[in-house]
Amino acid sequence: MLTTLLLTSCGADLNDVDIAVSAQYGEGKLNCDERTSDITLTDLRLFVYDLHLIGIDGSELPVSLVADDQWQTSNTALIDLEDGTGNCLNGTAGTNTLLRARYAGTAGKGLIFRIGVPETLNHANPLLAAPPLSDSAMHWHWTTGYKFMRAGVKTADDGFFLHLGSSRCERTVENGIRCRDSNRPEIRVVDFVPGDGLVIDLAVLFQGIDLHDGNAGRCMSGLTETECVPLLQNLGITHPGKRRDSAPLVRRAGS
Amino acid sequence: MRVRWILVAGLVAVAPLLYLMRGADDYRWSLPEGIPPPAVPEDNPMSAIKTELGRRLFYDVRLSTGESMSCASCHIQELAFTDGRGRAVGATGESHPRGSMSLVNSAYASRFTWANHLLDSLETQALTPLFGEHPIEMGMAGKESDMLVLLRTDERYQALFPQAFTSDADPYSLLNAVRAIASFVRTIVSFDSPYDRYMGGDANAMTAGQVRGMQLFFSEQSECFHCHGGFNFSDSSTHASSRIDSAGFHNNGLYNLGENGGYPRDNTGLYELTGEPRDMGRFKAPSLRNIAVTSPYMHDGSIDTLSAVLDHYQAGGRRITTGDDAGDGSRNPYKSVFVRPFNLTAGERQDLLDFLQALTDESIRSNPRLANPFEE
Repeated sequence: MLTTLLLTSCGADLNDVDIAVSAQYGEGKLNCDERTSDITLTDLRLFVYDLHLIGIDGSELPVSLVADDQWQTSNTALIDLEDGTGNCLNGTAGTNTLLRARYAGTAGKGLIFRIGVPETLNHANPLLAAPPLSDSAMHWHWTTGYKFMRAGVKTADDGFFLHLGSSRCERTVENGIRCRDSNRPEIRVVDFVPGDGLVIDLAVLFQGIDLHDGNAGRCMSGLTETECVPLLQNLGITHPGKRRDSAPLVRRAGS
Repeated sequence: MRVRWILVAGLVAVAPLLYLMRGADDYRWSLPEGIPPPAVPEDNPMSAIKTELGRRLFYDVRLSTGESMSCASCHIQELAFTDGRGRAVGATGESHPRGSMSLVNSAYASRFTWANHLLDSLETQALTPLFGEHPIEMGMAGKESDMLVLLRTDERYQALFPQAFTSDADPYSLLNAVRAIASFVRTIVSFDSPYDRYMGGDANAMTAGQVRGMQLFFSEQSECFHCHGGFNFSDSSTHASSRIDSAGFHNNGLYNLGENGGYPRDNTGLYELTGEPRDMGRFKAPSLRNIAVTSPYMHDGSIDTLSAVLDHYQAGGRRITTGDDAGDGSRNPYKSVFVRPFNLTAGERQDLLDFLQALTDESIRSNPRLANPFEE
């Protein structure tokens, strides 16, 4: 999946890197179809931005995305791992399981990115936004920003979903909204090398949530929501309490 | 009856310029003397054709999942654009924690919905009922491509969109649909109640009791006007020449769960957005215009009649003795300083209630320009 292009216009070698993304719950594959397992997906869509590879010398190499007017701008991509079937009731048939990116330099080990929408775009009029930021399912109008991530699972009699986005915001739509809680987790995949895929493990995200107590819960990123406490810890977002010392939310496929 | 309707001089003066800049801006506000025109966003100027397009969109059930409801399902003209329910019900049957607010004079609102300090754009607000998921209102999240197909293929819309947005190469967009709906909603303007006619010089427009009730309303005895004051009877109001950002949110002592100041979990007011204890139970003071036809009352419809609302305020808060919501709201530590017990004689009480009846504008409830165009 790794090729090298020579771009004569700028004189720099740019490497293409495609990064396949999939969802798991622990070691099990996760999808919308309830026939495949006890735990099924109800939703998994997330924006990622500000990608960097760790260079062979330890430096951070900026990674640009290949803009396609559908899933990616040059800096922000929407990963969509639900296909609207089975328990993904309000999903869409389209999926995006592959980040197409480029970088200059020599990669070593490691990938860094953030889950979220860059601040400059987060409070702009979503109806003027270009794809993928034009997707109304990712708009969060009453908070005047985006849902950075929608993630949900269902068990036989229970389930949970998360809508992640900035919270505790001030000022107004017409006067420069600013938020005290950014809620954009930084993801570090320490052993990633170009050519690897990524696995998003929702067992890590929902660690600490009882998915079999018959009480389907939710977290909408509110500091005051008790059910958000374990999730925001699992995401590594600054929050009362400490980050859980657990497996990473995003890991290298096959690791 | 002497009401002097005037054209707004400022708008007339700049109309030719606006015409050159942005296409037809031929909308004429009909406002009594002394009432300022509402503030209109620069990127969405009013026009007659746009408001007509907006009216059609407002009443179009095809803008909801299952084609089961339109904006007008929760904002019924005869009920001053409310729905008569304590809590609204969305297209999939899901109940909203709060009641549908009146749209009357929302052109003058400085903030929208019951409790959102961020939301000062009617165009932005319109997106929540269309696309919101918690609760589902019209249920269109992720269905914007279906909406665009409708706008492009419906014969009426094919006629209206290009006329309303003449400078757009492609006028069919969600953005323009929302702009048109907001423009229509801005036309739902009410200043023709008995109170307005009385203020316009018609001494017979209100009864003697209503005049006494008005004096009580604007007194330090009842304190009503602190939050429900001004030309729009709401301290979250603004207008075209306003330079002050007035946005009032108040805890009125409706609840005091556990005697700790708490409100029911699904209705904590501004606190839901800020997480600040001081914001617990703070809601916007809605305009009282047409209040007599918009029962039940409060953000959650928990008071049925204006008489019971007056009981609540006279007691300086509501005491709930049993159940999950038990607590003495009059002792809520976050309560507004203006909500405190006061005494009224039986006659004064009746005068105050009669005055609230004088805020009903019958024309707004029957004006054909605001009615369902699909029934014309």
